[in-house]
Amino acid sequence: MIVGIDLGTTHSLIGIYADDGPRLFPNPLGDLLTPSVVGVDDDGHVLVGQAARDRMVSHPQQAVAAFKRWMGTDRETRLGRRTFRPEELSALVLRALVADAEAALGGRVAEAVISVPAYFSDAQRKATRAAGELAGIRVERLINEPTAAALAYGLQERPDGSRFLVFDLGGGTFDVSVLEMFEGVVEVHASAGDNFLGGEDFLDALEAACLAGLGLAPDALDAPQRGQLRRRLETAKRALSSEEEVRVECRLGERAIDWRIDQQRFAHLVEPLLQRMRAPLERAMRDARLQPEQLDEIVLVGGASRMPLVARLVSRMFGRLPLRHVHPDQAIALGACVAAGMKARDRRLEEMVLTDVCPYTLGTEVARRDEQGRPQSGFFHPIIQRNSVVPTSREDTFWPVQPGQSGIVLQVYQGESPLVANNIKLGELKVPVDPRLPPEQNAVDVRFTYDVNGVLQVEAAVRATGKRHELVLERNPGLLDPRQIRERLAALAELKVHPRAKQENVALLARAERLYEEHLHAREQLQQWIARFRAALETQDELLIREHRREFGAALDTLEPA
Amino acid sequence: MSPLEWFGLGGDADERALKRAYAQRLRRTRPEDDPEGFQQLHAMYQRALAQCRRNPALAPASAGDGGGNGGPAGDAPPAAAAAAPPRADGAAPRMPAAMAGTDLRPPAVRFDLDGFCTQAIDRAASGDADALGRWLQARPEFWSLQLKTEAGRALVQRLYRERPPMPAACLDAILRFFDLHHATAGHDPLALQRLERHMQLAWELQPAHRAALCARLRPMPTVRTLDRQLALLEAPFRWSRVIALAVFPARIAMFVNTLTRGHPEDLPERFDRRAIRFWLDAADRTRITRARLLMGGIRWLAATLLGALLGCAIAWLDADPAEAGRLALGLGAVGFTMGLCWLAWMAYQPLDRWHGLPEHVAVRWPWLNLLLVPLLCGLGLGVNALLPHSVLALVVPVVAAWLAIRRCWRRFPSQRRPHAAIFRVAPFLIYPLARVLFVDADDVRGGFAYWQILTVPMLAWGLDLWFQRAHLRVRSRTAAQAD
Repeated sequence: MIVGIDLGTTHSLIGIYADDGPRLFPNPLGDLLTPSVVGVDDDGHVLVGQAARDRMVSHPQQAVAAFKRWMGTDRETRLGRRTFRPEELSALVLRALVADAEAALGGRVAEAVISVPAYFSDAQRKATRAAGELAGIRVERLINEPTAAALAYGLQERPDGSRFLVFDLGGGTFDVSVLEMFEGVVEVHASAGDNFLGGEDFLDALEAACLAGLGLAPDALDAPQRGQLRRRLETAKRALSSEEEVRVECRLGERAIDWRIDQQRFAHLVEPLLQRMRAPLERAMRDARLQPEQLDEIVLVGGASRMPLVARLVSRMFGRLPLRHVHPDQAIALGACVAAGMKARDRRLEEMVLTDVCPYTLGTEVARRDEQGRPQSGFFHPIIQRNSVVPTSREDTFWPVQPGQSGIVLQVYQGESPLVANNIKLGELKVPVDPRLPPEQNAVDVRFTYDVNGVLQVEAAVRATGKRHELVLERNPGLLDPRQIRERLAALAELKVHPRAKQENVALLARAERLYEEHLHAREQLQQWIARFRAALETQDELLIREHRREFGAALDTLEPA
Repeated sequence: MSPLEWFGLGGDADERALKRAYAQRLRRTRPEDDPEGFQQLHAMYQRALAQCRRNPALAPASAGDGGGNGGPAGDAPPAAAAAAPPRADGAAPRMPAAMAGTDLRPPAVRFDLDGFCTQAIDRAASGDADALGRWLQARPEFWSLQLKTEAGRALVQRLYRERPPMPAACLDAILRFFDLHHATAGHDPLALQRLERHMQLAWELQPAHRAALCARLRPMPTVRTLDRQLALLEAPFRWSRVIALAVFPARIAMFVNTLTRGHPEDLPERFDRRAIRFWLDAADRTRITRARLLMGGIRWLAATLLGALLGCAIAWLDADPAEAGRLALGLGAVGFTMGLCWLAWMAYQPLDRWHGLPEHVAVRWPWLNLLLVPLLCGLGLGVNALLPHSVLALVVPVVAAWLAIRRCWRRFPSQRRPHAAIFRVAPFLIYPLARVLFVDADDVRGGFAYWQILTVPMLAWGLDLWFQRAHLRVRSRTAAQAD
């Protein structure tokens, strides 16, 4: 049984390709969307999801969110007594999701298809695979998020012979893909994106404007207060999609906050972010060699695409209103489920074939001769152009720069800049050549092969001797090797996690603690409720607990109408 | 077999039929199961698509498909799309009929490309890259993809043609906005670097930006000094001035090099290349140039005359005319000898470089290069036979020894760079060196020790030959191949 997982910056979902099509599984709280937040509680238990998200407000040091943005880096986050790499945090979210799926399916889940932003780099993809391994599941395939959304959309609408663009603005990443569907073939023509552009950036802009508007320095608020403010602003941001003006009113410690923002001002604030969306859109269209009028549909997915500003940007660029038949929050997860079904060779998906592209350019460093004939090094020579259909294999020939050179160092880079200094180095391959031959007789044929799973293989053949050299870039420096993964896996196994049955109680307590921080006037009341609920938990009487939980939840709802 | 036939289709098949055939084959050749087969299939599909679209009879059926621009993202680089000529109807793209009434897109008026380029260049000249970027972003016409591509191409072409003064940041903003700053945009990165340098220098040389230039040219003290220096460079060509300034050429050459970041060819037209070339040549110690010879000759003449004059003055103060003449002559002779030494030194440097060239570099006169040291030793023997005890007979082997040691050191295989090896060789050199340097003067003049002196250059030469033995073989081999 292969599950499909959308591991998002702000929310994650899990599902399966069931008998009646893709089906998503709810978490213990009954929601399909599990916040991608990890926290620890006072006795060292790991919290994932809504409980951790509430914990972020009450105890900002003990919860962490948006770690998808650090995937592929060495950044470590301290939570409680130990530090976590981004892969481990993602693994904890994956474990929670898999537990939900196992509870719903009643069996073990060992394989998954995980969606990643189309513009994720090599290192980021590998980190995502490592996260899967750390969560104890085998990642059968990584599918690009816009492609997944297209699969969901394609299955639902069955548009035949159409070209469309998927605009995916999620919590932390922005992706664009241009696709074509015909005769059951889903063909991706081009993908482009920005890994650091998403709903969170809109919230950052709003927060900065709010602090400036209130005359506060960015560090004037302590962490819990900031967490509260962000939560309020997040609500305000959502409200701005439908209301002309929104008022943010709350108490942060001693301060009473009262701030207003209208749609026009918001549009002005986020103008730079909207401008940043233009470049990937244009690039994807150019690489697909299409004019806007040649597109049949434009599909918006991702929670942040709900903002009317985004729809306006798209209409402005493409001269038409975007289409939104798919559920923006669930489309990617549903698509991941379809991809899982395809991977499992589901009979009903037999007709479907997916071809995807490599979203970035891969190449090597070369030296070029300037006008004086002097060699200048540091230039990037593309071998696999971005948006080539994968699997792909390209060959190019290189010669030594100087006579008497005893070898060629093939530095493998990924990126778009003409200077390698601005690109990401993936590895290097040293190819010895005969220094006694003149350079023009010392050709080295280099072949780059990029497969469906994103593994790059570099082969070099010295023409004079026929000798072959090979480099397989499976693991990047700075990422975990298999031994480290085993160690971390063992370490993660030692973490205490609340049993699934208790999750609801834990989440309720976390919510009450957050409300305790937010509502000064009701603190005594809340304290009483919390104490009473804890007492009920002590009894371990399941019936009593359920009764109390219902009352407690209802009481909290009076403080915070949904 | 034509690509369409490969798919089992007739030459008049349309795109729909091709896609159906492709889809069928694709189900048997899935990319994840059969990578090689898929690559072949996909390449064929791209070619068949292109064939389909070229077919004029079918043109109306696929009119919307990019005007024969080839298949969607495939084998040809994306850059090709940017480099393809613009379509004939260069205005904003057509609107779908359903949207024609709404005001989402600017009206399709002909866009004034030239006017836009001029405006953009004017704005860039102000030097504020952020403002330029905002101005570009705010232009409503560029929401049209096609127009944007076209405008970007026109602007960059114009920049190449006119090279207007523009700071690098503004060029970067332009390239960024038009998405031309990436490796597959089809620009030669070296040409782009050259353009950037050229425009940046022209911008910095504008009088309004002196302070910024001054800040870059540390330790240039003040704007006034900088102005003076630039005025010197810019002044019209006059031999007298050029030569007067070249008396101390190093300073002016350094100024030119820091000003142009080592690329004097970037200077705008108004700077006289002849004068700048002359100063740079005069300061260049690695080559024998006319400028260097001329300046050396002038300095030498001046020094000799000055010496003679000084002698005369001293003698005149001593009131001894006869002595004065001799002193003047003596000082003049010293100046003359100094000049000769300088000439010899200047001639020695290229000789040393030529002689020390690596084996695989195409050297002029390869046999002379190889056998120079033994030849010099032979010459030494000859001179010693003709003119025993002469200074010349001693100078020749010393020069030969020095050349041989330098050659051996410079050509040493780069992996095992010299130091360790030199120390290994040194003990063998100590004895002959000591014989040469500290030998009893009588022994040397006695002539019988002359061959001992020659052992030093021959030893170093032989050592070099040993290290380079691999290359010697190759040279004969490549020579054979050439035959």
